[in-house]
Amino acid sequence: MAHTTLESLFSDIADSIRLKKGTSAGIAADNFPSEIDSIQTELPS
Amino acid sequence: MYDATNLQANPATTTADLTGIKIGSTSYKIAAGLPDGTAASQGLVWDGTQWVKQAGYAYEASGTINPMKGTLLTYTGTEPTDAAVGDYWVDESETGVNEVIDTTPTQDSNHLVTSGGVYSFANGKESLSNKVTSISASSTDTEYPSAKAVYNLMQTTITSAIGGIY
Repeated sequence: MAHTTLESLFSDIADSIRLKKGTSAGIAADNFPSEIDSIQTELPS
Repeated sequence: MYDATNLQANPATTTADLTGIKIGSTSYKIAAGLPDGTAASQGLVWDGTQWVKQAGYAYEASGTINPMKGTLLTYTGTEPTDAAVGDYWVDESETGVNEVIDTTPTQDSNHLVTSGGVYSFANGKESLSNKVTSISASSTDTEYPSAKAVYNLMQTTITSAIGGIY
């Protein structure tokens, strides 16, 4: 997916974070790193 | 009738009216002195065919009629080609005028430059009147932005994007 603006790129990143975390609140772009770090994952066995 | 053989008039010291001179010789010379008080060494010499440079009168010489160059200071007769007395010219070496012409403007040159050379040099250059210090949706391709305008736009764009909530 080609993004032509920073806004569209950040919107898609925020949507992906919300999808993984099951949330719906808006996310400040500056908080993207901490939001991604807080996503619970399982290491492959 | 004047004896025109060696007639001289120094305009710095003499206000001689030499009109009406009648030439009585086929080898006459008419000198027009420059107004610096040294007419004897600075005059033009008309040899009956053309203006020539000659020791004791010294000025521009060439093989054609009317070879004088420089700035005409005073002019009381017709073109010097008819040997009018009273036409005073300044040698280009004395006025600082350099008649060498550059076809294009050249750095540090004191030469004259042709109109076409100036036009070609300026043609295609950006006009300062088209320089703008801000960029917007109404900006045109004729305009060109200052470095600060570009910087400001980038800063605004990035700051706005990072500060947004998505």
